[in-house]
Amino acid sequence: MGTRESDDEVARGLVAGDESALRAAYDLHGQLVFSFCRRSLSPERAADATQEVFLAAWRSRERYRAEAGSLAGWLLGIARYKVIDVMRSDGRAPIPRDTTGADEVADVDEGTLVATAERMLMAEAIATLPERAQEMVRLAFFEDLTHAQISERCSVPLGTVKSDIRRSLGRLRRYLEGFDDASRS
Amino acid sequence: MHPDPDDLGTDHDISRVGDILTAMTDEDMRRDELPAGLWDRIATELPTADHPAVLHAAPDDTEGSGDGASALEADAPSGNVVELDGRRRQRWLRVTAVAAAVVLAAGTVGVISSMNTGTGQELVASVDLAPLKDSGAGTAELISVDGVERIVITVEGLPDAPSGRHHEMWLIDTDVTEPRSLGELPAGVDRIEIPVPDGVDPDEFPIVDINLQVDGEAQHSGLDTSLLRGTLA
Repeated sequence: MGTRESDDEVARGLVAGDESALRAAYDLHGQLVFSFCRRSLSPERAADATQEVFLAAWRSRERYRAEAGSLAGWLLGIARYKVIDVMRSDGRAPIPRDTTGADEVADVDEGTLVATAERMLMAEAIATLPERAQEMVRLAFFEDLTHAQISERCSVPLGTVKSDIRRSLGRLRRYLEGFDDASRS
Repeated sequence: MHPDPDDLGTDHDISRVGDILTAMTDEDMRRDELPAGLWDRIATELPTADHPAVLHAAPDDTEGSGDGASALEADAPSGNVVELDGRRRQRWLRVTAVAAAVVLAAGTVGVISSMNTGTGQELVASVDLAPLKDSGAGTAELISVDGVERIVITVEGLPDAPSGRHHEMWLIDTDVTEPRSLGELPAGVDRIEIPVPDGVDPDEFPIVDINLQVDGEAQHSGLDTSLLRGTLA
């Protein structure tokens, strides 16, 4: 799980062409990238795709804009295309899904990949929130508690619950943005 | 430099985040262990002087301009060649049957032989690489050194790779569906020796191809980018 600060450091190193920064990015987010690729690919092909993601990140490092979103988001944005490339080279998954080709059914379409990436990114993003905010987000969205119930559970004023959750959602949103910013590198 | 991290965005943005959160499952939290050695594979392919993709840096080669690739020794003794086994990813290309016919027509079939070329070294197959773009020439040999197969490629008169491209070497199967990269042929190198990658049987991948590969592209950039080609026999 990358913190904001370490992501910033890594991003600066990357843009400066520091190879150790790529290693740091791999240490911070390699598992996320590989896990994402594994959702659609065999272990061997997921490793191939992960390799391509980091090589592409290196080649296009100057295009990464820290202000546009998280490094994790940017890497998964690249990973989405690499997974598609691998699936296509394996003769899998006409993407977008071609409903007329009934005998060649896509097991994953691009929309599914994007949705999966966003949910996995969100898991990373939650971990970057302050502890109390993490708890509130979990209670609100995973346990479907009302703000009033959260207020009671956490012994925090209702107004604070509302502002904490809204602020948290804003931060989570920002974490996702790198994903949309990644180009087909 | 950063926008205010507490900037909430529009209601639409916030609602999108809420939708994603609601859709999350335990599987989205699960993380798979990274395969051992994956970073090494990545580092090996980084185009930096510290990690030459194909050859070792020759300590006595002073002709290079210092950009990494040109500092590589072309005539590396086989013992110093960086092993690619297991590190170089396999690459693919989907091409048409028409392209396959082009491949088979190109190149001069080499002399089938298994003559000894030195102690513990055996010439298994060879071919003259034919120019597909009216310039350049080359040879490819499949040799066996103490039972380990290597490809030796020589080239001459290859046109320089334009900006954004490089010369890359490939072994291609007879169906021309799965080119496997042998790595970059660094600029200025006229002889190179490469271990046959793991999992590649030269009997099944007998076509040697050198192309003008687009930098950063994992797959073969297309048969129309090929400069030299021949089929080992």
